[in-house]
Parts: sequence; C-alpha cells; structure tokens
Amino acid sequence: MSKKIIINCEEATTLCCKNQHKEASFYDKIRLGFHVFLCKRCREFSKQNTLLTKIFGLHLKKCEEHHLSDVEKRELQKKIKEFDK
Amino acid sequence: MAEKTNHVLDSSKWVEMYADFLYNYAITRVDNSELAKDLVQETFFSGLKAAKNFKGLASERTWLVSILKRKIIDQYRKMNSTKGKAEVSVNFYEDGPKKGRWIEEMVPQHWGNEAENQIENEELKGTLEGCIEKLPQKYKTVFLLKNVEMYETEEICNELGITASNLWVIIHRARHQLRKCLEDNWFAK
Repeated sequence: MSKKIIINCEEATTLCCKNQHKEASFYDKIRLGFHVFLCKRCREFSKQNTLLTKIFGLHLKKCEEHHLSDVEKRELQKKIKEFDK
Repeated sequence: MAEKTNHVLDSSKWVEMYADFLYNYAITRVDNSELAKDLVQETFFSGLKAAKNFKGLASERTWLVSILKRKIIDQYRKMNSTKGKAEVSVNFYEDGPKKGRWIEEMVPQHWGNEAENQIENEELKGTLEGCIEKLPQKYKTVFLLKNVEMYETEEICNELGITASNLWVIIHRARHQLRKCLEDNWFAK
C-alpha cells in the first residue's frame, strides 16, 4: 500500500480490517480516520466491521478436539509397518 | 564429558503418540477430514524415509510437526493454483478513474438501529457458519487461523508461505464477503 495520507476506499477498508486486528500503525489510524471522516460509505463499513469483530468473538469458538478412530489408527499403523519394510 | 541426550525415533509408537495431535493440527488448517488424514499418513511416510537424517536435536513430535507443516504449505499452494481469486466478489473498481472506489452494488447498506441488539442471537451463529462455508478455501483457512485459532500474522505467513500484505488482502476480502453475506442473509431480512 502507498504511504500517502490520502487513500482510496479500498485502501481505507484494508486498513480498517488491520485495525480490527489491532495491527494498524499510528500513521495508518490517522489516514484511516481522515478518510472515514470524509467518506460516508467507508464510515458505514467501519461501523459494521466493528460489529463483525464482535460477532466473530461471540460465535466463533475453537471447535472441539478431533480424533482418529481406533480403526483408522490401526490401519495407519499397519501402513507404516509395511512402508518401513 | 557428559554426553548430550539425543532424541531417538521409534516409529512403532508414532500413531499411538502423535496421530491425534497431528490430525488436529492438520484439520484446523486444511478443514477437510479426509485430506487431513492423508496428510498425517504422508507425514509418517516422509518421516520414515527421512529417519536417517534425524539428528535427534528436536523431539520426535517437533520433527514430525515440521514435516507436516511443509506438507500443509504444499497443499495450500496447490489450492492457490487451482482456485483463483475470481471466486471472491470484487468490491472496488480495479482501474480507470474510479480505481479503488466502491462498486455501487457492494456499498454497505444501513443495517438498522437494532443491528447491535441482534448479534447475540444463537441463530446468527448458523448464518455466520454458512457464510464462512462459502468462502474460497484459502480465504477460509487464513480467516479461521486468524479469528478462531488466534494466530499471529507472522505465524500464519510462515506456515502458509505468504507475505503479510498477501495476508491482509485475504483477510480484507474475506471480511468484505462475510459482511455482504450477513447483510443479505441476516441484517437486511
């Protein structure tokens, strides 16, 4: 991305996503704020993007542990033995 | 001089000791149980082939994980080449005088004043999962690593062999697609 202070909507929304992950630099925040101040569409996006982060936090949890079945494990062990011959 | 205790390999115990761990590791990254199983098997095979190169400096598990990681990266590259970026919608004009501006149909619509109060609804979880399912594979992988596994940017980049700016392009597009999908299927309803 360019280093210019004036950025377009695509760049602004990219920085907005970076900001949601707390990885936007101080300068990024300034130019994002400047763009959003002037651009109604990106202002709306930014608001919704914050809501998305909340939604992800509420509804995306690490799923339970996955296991291979005993049958799968036995098969795998057998294949390893054969392979190792 | 005290001899350093080196790690040794014992392939007869691999499945029992590491299969579940490796399987979990793989499935959160490739999101497909059959593929994850294959990757674990290939990891063990490669491990056997490379056993003579095992220096014993790392533990058996660390060593096997490093093999699996390389396989995941290969897998991810394959996904990259077969599934192009055409699968995510374009949100901004790509060139011309309007370059970087919103394409009209993609402009965020107002979600209504009640939007904030609807987000705890359990049904939203199902809608969200449906939207995530529709993401192209590599977007889904990166998105889940970042938002569910809570990996650092650098870790994801190293693991998947992508640059930080690739990662932000992917996260950015994924969020756009999810935003639009939730707008169409939840907030605008």
